[in-house]
Amino acid sequence: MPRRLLALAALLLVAAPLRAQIAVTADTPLRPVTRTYALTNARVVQSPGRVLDRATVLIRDGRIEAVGPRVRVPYDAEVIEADSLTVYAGFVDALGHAGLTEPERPENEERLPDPSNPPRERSGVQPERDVRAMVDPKHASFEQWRALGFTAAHTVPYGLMLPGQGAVVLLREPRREERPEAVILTGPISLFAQFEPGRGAYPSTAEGILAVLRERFIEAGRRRELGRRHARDPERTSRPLYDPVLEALAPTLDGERPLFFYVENTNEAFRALRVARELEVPVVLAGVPEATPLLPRLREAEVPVLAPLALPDTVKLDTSDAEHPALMTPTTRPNGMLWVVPRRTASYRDLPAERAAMRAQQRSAVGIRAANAATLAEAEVPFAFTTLGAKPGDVRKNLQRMIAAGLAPDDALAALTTAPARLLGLDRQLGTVEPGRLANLVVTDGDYFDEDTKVRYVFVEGVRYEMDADTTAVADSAVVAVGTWTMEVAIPSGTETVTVTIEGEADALNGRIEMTDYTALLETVTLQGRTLSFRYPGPEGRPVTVTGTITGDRFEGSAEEGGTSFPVTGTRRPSSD
Amino acid sequence: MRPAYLLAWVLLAAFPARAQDPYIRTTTGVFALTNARIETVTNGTIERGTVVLRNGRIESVGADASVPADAEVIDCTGLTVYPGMIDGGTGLGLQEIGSLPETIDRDEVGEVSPQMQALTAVNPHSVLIPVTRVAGVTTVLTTPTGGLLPGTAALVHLHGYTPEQMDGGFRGVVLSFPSSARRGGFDRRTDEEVEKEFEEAMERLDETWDQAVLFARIDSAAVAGGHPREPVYQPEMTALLPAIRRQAPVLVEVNAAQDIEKALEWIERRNVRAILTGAAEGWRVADKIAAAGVPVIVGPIQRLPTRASDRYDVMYRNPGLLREAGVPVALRTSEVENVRNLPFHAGFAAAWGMGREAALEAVTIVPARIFGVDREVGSIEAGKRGTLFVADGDPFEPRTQVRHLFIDGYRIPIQSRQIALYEEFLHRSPGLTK
Amino acid sequence: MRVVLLLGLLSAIPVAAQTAADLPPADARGTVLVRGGTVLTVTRGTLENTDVLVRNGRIAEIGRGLDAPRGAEVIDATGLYVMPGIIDAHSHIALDDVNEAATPISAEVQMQDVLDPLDVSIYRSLAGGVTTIHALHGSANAIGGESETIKLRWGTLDPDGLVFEGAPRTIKFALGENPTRVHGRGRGTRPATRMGVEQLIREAFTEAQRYRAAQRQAERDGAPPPPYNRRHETLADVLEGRVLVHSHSYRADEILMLMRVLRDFGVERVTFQHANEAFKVAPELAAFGAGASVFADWWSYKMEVYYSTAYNAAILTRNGVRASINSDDAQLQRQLHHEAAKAQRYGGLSDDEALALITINPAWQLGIDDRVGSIEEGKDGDLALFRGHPLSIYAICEKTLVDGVVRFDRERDGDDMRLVVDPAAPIPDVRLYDHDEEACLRGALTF
Repeated sequence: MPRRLLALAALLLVAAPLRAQIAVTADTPLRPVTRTYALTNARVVQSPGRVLDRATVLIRDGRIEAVGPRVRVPYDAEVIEADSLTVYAGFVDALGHAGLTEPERPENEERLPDPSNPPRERSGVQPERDVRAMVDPKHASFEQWRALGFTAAHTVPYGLMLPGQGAVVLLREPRREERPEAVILTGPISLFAQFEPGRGAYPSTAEGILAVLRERFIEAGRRRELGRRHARDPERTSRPLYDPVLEALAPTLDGERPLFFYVENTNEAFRALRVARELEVPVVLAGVPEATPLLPRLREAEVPVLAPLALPDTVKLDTSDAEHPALMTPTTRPNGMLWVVPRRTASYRDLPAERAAMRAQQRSAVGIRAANAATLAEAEVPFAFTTLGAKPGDVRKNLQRMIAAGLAPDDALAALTTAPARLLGLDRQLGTVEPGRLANLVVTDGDYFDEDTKVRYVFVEGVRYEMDADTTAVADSAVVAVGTWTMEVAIPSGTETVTVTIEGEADALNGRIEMTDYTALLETVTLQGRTLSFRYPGPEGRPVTVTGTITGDRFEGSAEEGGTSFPVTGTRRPSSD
Repeated sequence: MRPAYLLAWVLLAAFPARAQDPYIRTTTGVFALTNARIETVTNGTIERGTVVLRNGRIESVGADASVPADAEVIDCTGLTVYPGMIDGGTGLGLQEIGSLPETIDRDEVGEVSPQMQALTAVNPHSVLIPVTRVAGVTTVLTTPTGGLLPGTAALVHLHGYTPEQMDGGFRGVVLSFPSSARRGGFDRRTDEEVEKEFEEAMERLDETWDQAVLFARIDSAAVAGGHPREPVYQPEMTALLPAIRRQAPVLVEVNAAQDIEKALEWIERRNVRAILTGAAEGWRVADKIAAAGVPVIVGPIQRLPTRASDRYDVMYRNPGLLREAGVPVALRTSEVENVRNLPFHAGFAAAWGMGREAALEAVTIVPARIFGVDREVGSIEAGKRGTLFVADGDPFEPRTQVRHLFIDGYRIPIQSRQIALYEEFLHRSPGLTK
Repeated sequence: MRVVLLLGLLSAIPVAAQTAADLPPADARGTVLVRGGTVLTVTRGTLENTDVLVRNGRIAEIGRGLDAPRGAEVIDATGLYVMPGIIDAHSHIALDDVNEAATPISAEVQMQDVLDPLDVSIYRSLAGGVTTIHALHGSANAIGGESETIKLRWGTLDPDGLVFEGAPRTIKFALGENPTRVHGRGRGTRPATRMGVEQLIREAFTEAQRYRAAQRQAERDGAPPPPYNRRHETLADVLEGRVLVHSHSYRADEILMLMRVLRDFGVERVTFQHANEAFKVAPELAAFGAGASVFADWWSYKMEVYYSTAYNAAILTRNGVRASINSDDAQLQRQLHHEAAKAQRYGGLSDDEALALITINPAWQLGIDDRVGSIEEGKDGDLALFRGHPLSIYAICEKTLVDGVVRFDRERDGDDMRLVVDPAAPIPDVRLYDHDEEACLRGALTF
């Protein structure tokens, strides 16, 4: 009886509105009728290799309450008949920038009077920054990644060499009664590092970054020692002065907050491994596009890897290439890294063969990248996937390419679910479909890794997102930029109306802008998620950058010219057909 | 034993028949180089013979050429006479110190400036010139650089006190053909950007050329007479007239294989008398260049491959491969202060497939023919300019010393500031203590 | 048609052509008998028709009629010249970064951190007989970073595989136009003059001295050490003689200046890099015991090299200064044997003297002359086999061995010897290199 009371009290506590009265606006969603769902008769992949063919998953108050073939559906549950559907654990992005906007690098950044001693935002030594203060749950990235099945993400700040501390966020919107921060699942769990040099400031190179890393960590160790001495004997020792950088490094030095080191190539990977070994700090290597040469080191140091979901484009062979079969035969290095044809090009006569060899080599180089995850799995290096550098629109295709290159689907699934959960220390909350876990689920109409499969529902901590049948692929293909837009730019002297025409494929957009007496072609038209941006040479000769969000046929954003920004709104004209 | 031997060595090698005069004073008159081995280039090698120079010209050459009574005799026993070497592309005379713009006159403002005359800015007193010629390089093409049509190159002989005295007779408008190659290892332009820039440059070239053709037609009509009005004053187009009328060749600087192919098409379409220069990837399209009948000035030879996937030695083999395909090949260093290395570039070409004989031709008679001055220079033949050098061995070999040097019949002391510094500092006085 | 194509193809690919995939790992140490060559030992004269036996990466025996141990590779060097692997005391290849130019003193950075084993220049230099290079920090700073002596073990993907194990630490200094241009004129920060360069170095040395003294004092007192400073740490090591100084320099006055400063601070080992005017102060260099690592003939690319002479190496040699010829450039590096030969044209050095400029002398300057730089028993099996005397313009390198492992083989190697292929690189990827800019200012002006 007392236990029941306690539970009730807890329930009341949780359910009690955190903010007493909030104004209801036209956009405020209705309160949900229930927070209990039952997905019945579904194929449930509890974890890679553990499948229930016909089971019910019961969700209550953001957690999985029961999973099994004989689960009773309670009275207050909304039943989702999932007879033909598959339920997976919600995916976990092991490292990304979910909920964050990449700060634009100012074109004419202020020149520092003394670049050797820059402010920390220019040097990038900012380990004290906490990502939790930066995450915006309304950011388009939440929706984009969620549409693919991601339900939680380890997000780290944008920045330079040490951008700050990462935390895990749940990829859902805050509920009506919640503060926005409610979607943050953990405290700081990581220290993010990358080879991003200072802007016109020290350290401006990789060697500078490594020198600073070493010095700061060693100094943090010294300071920790000073702190201990002072705590023991405050009367006879001086206090260590407060230093946010050194303080922020201490948990990593203590082995509690691993260094998540993002590397773009094998050289950087070797460097990161070496410095971590020297400093004796735990490290997770992220972004490694070709892990093969690193395998002995990774195994020896027991370093987990976050493999990129990004892959280079495939290379097409020419029909004429087939005329050179000898050059098409792979000769792979024992470590699987290299693929160069043993050719000789003695004169211009040998050029067709050379061309064929070059294309075949490049195709093979792409293949090595596609097989990267399979290589890691085979070598039994613990790995998960990172979205860093990846476009949402490519992720499912890339996963298919990885599987075609030898990655077992169960290993792929593990790298999206159980592996990141374990890596982030959240395997009791995330990664499997089991009672007690957060109700983070991906519900599909087939095998997730099949091309035709669509994501039907995503649950994030019990909040249900239903995907339109024809827009499940990816948010950014659901958002269309193509069309003729009438845009109004609010300039100080009034409103200027312009016509912007955007054409092309989603990943290769182009277009033009027309004003009363000026027309220009658009440069670099990109659509990322719902964010459309493009640039054009302004009538004054200076480049103008327009960035904004597309919602249906509406556009809202700003135009920037020479450091000044003007609001822009637009509507798409109905197409004539 | 060793110090004595050393001293002999030093004296022999280091002070080769130099003038004691601290100034470089040249003399002229009648000279007879006797008992010499003579590599004529065009008429084989004379194992022991005489070359007579008079009035700036070679009067006679041969095993049995007689020594005139009024000649100053220079005994060349154990030495070999070679025609002065010609570098088919340099900045010599136009640039003194690479990092100081005040000392550089190669790159005028403007994409189209063919009226800029290299000869005008050649500094006859450049410290670099004596340094160059004591290596046996007596004649160089010196070229403006920069824009699409940066100016008119000139052939200069490396002795004279005025540009006129140095004038080698040849002029050629330089065309920097649009390039799809990337500049160095840090050029991060995408394929699209490269292509766009190429297309824009191509458009600009074609527009300019159309204008020049039109201007030439108007100019011809005006010259023919019967028109009351003078044609407009257009210095850029005036400078292009000789090229448009095929009176002078265009020096087409182009390096990447695909650009060379486009350049050949353009040359054919525009009916231009062309000389390809650079041609780093010439070997890749050697057959096409040969078919077009266009001569090539290749270089530098001591250069990195243009592609990471290329065989390491491909730049060394380039001139040999071009020649093998039937292309007339001359060499250049593309240097300014180190034009003296021309024989070494030639030596590399020789070692890597071209052969010594062809390589020697590529720095003597072939460039002379390409520049249309083969009746003046490029070989040891009677009637040609007295521009030659005498060495104690193969001029391509680094250990070889040039002992005598003649340009236009002037005997040039083997002296330069580099040699003067050597003489002063080999045994500095005072040494460590004063 | 098809037959013709296939025939063309067969002629294009010799059966034995190999790719970099066949190269052994960096820790391989070869056993090989190089038989019957003309051995240019450099330190012990020229030995005709002589065998060199390399066992487990070290030269085990030099003599005639040597027997090949079981399993040894035998290379017939009849008609070839066998010389010690060439050493370049000044290089910037195999580096992803060269200049930490944001500060005029950057003693804390290390080139070992930015080695790039994938740089195809490594292979190209091997093909010129080069086996060891000094990968230097750039010359943007009065005191640059620590440089790294590496072996050209082409084939390793691990940067640490290149490291010349046991080589002394070295550090780059730079005097004259480069640091004053980058910092003084470029940014309005010191140094803008050669006076400023001197004082900057003196200040940095003095601070490092005090830092080390404070550390020692704290140790004695059982007190906590002073705040950790890598810059001071490195420079204190320099002052204690544990790091060799290699200073970019051109003018005679600045060479004298640094010798004065080093003498004041008790630093004994220094090599002046480039040192185009070293010939003017050859007696002073000899008295100090300093080395000079110079260009064969580069000059006039800037004001401070206008009063140069290609006879520099010869004057230094004749005045008893240990001189070497360096490249500072990927092209010059692969023709260093030819660069050394220029010292015969400019000053008439003997064959052994000229070869010493690219072998034993740079080895001495790098403190590795007990390991490499000549063909002697006990030294590393780093050899270059040339057809034709290496000082001849017609010389062609046939094979290069590092630690007794053949890492370049002209006959056997395919054309494309890259270690990795960039899946996103354009095809074709044509790049034209002009050496307008000194390699040692890479990254300093664009930063």
